[in-house]
Amino acid sequence: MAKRRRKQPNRKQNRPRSGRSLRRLLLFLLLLLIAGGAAYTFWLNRRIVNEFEGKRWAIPARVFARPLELFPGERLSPENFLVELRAAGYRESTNVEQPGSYAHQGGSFRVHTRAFRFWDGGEPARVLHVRFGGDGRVAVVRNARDGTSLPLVRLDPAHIANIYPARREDRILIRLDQVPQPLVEALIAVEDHRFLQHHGISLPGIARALIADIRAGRWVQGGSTLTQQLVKNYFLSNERTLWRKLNEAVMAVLLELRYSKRAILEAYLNEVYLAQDGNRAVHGFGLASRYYFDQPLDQLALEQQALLVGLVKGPSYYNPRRYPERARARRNRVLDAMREQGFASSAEAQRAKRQPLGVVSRPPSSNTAFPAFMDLVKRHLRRDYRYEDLTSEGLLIFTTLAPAVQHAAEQALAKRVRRWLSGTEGAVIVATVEDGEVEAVVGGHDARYAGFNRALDARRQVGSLIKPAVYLTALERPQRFGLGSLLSDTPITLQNANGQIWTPRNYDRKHHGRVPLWSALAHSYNVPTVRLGLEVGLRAVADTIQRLGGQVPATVYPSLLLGAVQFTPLEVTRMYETIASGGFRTPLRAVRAVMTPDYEVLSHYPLKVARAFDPGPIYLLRYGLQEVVRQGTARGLSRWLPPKLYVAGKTGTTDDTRDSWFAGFTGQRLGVVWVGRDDNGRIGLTGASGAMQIWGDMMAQLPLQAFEPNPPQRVRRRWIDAQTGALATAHCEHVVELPYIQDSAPDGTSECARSASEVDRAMNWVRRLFN
Amino acid sequence: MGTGVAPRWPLAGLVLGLFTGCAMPPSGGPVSLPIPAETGEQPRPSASGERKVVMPAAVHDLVARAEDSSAAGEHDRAVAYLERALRIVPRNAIIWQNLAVVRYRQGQYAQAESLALKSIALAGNDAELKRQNWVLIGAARQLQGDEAGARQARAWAAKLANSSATP
Repeated sequence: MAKRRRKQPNRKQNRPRSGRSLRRLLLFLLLLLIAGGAAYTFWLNRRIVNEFEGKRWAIPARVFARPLELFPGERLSPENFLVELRAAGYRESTNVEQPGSYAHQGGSFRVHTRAFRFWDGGEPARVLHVRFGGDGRVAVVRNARDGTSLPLVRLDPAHIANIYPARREDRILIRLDQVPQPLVEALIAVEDHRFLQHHGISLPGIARALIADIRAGRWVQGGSTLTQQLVKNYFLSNERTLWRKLNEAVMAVLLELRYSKRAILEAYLNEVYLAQDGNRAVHGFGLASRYYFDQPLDQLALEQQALLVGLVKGPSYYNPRRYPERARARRNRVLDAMREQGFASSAEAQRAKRQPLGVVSRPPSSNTAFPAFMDLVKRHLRRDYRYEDLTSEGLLIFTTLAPAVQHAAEQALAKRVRRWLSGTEGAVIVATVEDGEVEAVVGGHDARYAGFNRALDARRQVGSLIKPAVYLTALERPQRFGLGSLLSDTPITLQNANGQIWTPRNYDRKHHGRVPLWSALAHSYNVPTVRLGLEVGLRAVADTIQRLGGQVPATVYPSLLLGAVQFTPLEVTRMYETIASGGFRTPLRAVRAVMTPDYEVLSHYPLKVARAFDPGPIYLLRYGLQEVVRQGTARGLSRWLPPKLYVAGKTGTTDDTRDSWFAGFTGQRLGVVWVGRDDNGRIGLTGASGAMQIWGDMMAQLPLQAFEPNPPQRVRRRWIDAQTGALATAHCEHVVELPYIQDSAPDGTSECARSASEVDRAMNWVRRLFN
Repeated sequence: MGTGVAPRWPLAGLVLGLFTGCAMPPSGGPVSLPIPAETGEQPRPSASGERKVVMPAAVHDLVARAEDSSAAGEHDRAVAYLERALRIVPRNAIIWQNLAVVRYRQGQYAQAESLALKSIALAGNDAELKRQNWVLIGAARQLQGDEAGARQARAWAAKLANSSATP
């Protein structure tokens, strides 16, 4: 009602003055249009400048294996050296002209290394001469150019993975000066031959495009300059409307007004979309070069550069892997255009056109070859880094993966599992003994499959693998137990508060009377272990497990003593690491350092240790674990390993052979292997017939170093009466020599030793007499 | 008593003890790092003493670089070099001790103590090296407020000083 009343008077008023007010309105609209246009242009300008300057491409973190350190005297086989070289992407080539190539004849190698900047210093590119001796060691490392011997060389490390965001746009950033001149010329020749002259838009180009469009009756031709294409890429819109094209043109002009041709070209070279690899979009020439040729951009031949330039027009239509003929024709057109515009001579173009495409049949995988190890790396990094930073900041991550060890672990697991019942799975973790670096992680028999990571996530009963904790608890009480103390292996039945009855049995279903402590461990007898555990106390054993680095439930039952507790292979590794490193808790590390793309160190994860046990009891336990290998349940290892290596280890088998474990260590490395089924079904394998086989296969591929620790200060070798466990002397009957904590005689002194010491005293008296 | 003084003297002693000590004649420069044998290499020390295995030149190189870095106050870099050296000779008690000293200089006393204990565990019959480690542990414990532990460590050091007089 009110509306109408007001409208009517208005109309009356407007009618006589309609001519003047119309002009005024038009003027106003015109001004508005100009102001709006200016504001809009200003806004576009802001948008394009923000995009161009603030453009920080999301660069995934690049992850590297540990670099191989080469030095004379190093234990390394030529075979493992080859594995390391291949993992680092080295190619065999007789002349070793290019960095990243090698040639070898038997144990003599020439290696052209790549320059590499580490977080703690750099290595130059150089040609090395590396010779292996017959003794499994590196004999010579020389600079091949001048013959100088080199005390220590770090090879550039294998690039093992990238950490991608969910929407995977990937690129390797390049600077303009890293781009070969012919590639730039080809790009200009084909895509925008007036690039160096125009101001962002090309009027002849637009005119030509318009004519083509009118003829076709729809938008078919881009007629875009490189600048326009760059703008288009920035805003990721594919709609072909006049409005968008207008915006694009305005922004292109604005961009050109503000930035140099070089800056625009460099941005273009990094931005342009060149391939689709599954759910990963390949952007920029730097990555495209790797993706198609598996080579760095600056090493591409003319025809390869021409092919990349040709792909700009349509990466999927000209996909050289799927449509090689189309791609070849396109490449040759690029070469022709280069010739026509004087960027290439006729001869050069002709020669290049005769070349094959040179595309590697399979692109270097963007999925890591080491998913299980990367899983550990990511979990480690997620403690300190946001996911966005890992996937976008181009961080460089230096890990501890040792390619030769990883390779040996994968091979050993795959080879064995193939022979066992279908559905049998496994996992392997290898770590260095003294500094806790994780060298290998295998999460299943198909090491490339990034699924369930059993090494980190399969929480399974550990069975006898827990026993060292029981024996260590006892050996920490040297006034009560020594390695020679006799344990009773006679039937035992336990009853809990609910009246439940438990009768532990030995694996062989026999009882062995009285057995020495070391032998009960070596043969993994269940009954004496339960008795011993109850004697020292369940709480004490649980406490030992915790000090070793394991978690124990709040309520523990006697079945804990036989490993009715679940751990992942990683947790087992943590516990055995404490034993292997002489009683020092040494946190396992998968990452050494994280660096920004500008080589600034963001974090360094240093070696840390904390003493958890006295060296004495650990030494005694280790002796027992060596006996496991020498004559106990793991004696089958002698098939792979020469004697006198002093390998220590423990087998583990759970009820009805559902889990098969082996944890063992040499002087350098600790390996933990689990075998079982994901559905927890039976596999019919014991620790020795399952996991230990993998461990043996694996370790036999790696350099081995005999190592027996020096006895700690308070440990002495003692003669022990095998029938009583009492201290004896060498001449007594049925004695064995065992390490004991000094001044401990948990089982007394034998009659024979007591009389012997009287004789000794008498002898001393005689000697003094004659001196 | 004397807590204000105690922290100072062991540090000075250590600086000397670490990089010049350990019964190795200085070769060339004013300071040289003690690098004896690759411990743990041979199966067992024989009665006549441990067979000395020549240390790779690589390790000499790294330890020397660590020494320079630490002297220049670049302790993290020194740690990096020492860790590299340990990857080559993981049971070299002297390198573990060097690591302990660098941590001590950085004020990471708990870690310095642990590393020195590790060095002792690997030191075999090297009484002088063990003594130096106990001195460091004593100082580190003192600085962590562990009086009793410090006293105990110093007692060990004194005991070893006496025993090392007789070879």
